Amino acid sequence: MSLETQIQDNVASIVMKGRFDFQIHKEFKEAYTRLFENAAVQQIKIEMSKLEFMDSSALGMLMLLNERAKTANKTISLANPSQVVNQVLEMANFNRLFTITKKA
Amino acid sequence: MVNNQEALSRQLSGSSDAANSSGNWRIAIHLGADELKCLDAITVVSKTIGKIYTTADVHFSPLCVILNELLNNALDHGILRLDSSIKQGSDGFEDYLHQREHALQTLTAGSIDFEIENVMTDGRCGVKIHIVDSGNGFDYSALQNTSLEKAVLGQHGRGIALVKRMAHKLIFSGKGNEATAYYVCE
Repeated sequence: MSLETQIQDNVASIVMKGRFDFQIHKEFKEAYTRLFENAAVQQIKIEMSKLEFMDSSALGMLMLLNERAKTANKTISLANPSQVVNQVLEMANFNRLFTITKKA
Repeated sequence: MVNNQEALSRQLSGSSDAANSSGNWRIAIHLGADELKCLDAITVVSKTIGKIYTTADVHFSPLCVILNELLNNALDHGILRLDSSIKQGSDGFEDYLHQREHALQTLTAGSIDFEIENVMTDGRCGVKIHIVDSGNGFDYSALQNTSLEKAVLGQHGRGIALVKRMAHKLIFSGKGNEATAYYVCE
């Protein structure tokens, strides 16, 4: 599992790879905290196409990110979830809490 | 789908030997305190599952999700005896992970056993996952009505709710230190 951050104009992407669970928690938090501090960034996109799977702790981390982003005045979106990741997001009704975007 | 569930119920209500006899593979792993401390158990298990259902297979990820949640539950609550209520509050989740890391580093006793096996259900292939930890268990009667919709807004209960949705059946037994999940490949 790993992640990398890309910034283009006012949109930042956190690209998640492999497994999204609590083991990546520290790195994930550091990545979004840096983006919160960057005034030029208005929107943070969590790129999920390269994820093998995510678990309930990842859902918890996304909930925390969403809460903290509101305080930091940034918008969060979840992008291109793979089939099983989408299944987990749907089961948790995350479409009500997040904007989920998919490539055409 | 309905027929399938009926068949599964029939199978589950029958003897466990009957459910186990028709499978053609079984993996059993025992992890003691040292292994729980040093091994990333879910990586070991997902790599093993990946040999049977390749990572491109539609069943690979759901099986990994089920295994991951059951393993983490057994480890966090059964062995490390962490209370999920720690997760509440704004820094709760981080506190929980911190306490988990500390408890794992200082672990000296405890074990988790799990078996993953292929079972047949009404002519369909299924996977039975059975996990037992050496912990004290818990009162699982309160868990019967956990729904993911309710759990999602709180900071705990999501794992079990997720397994309940991905697996066709999840049964706790013994003193609560034992769980069996049935996944049907369809």
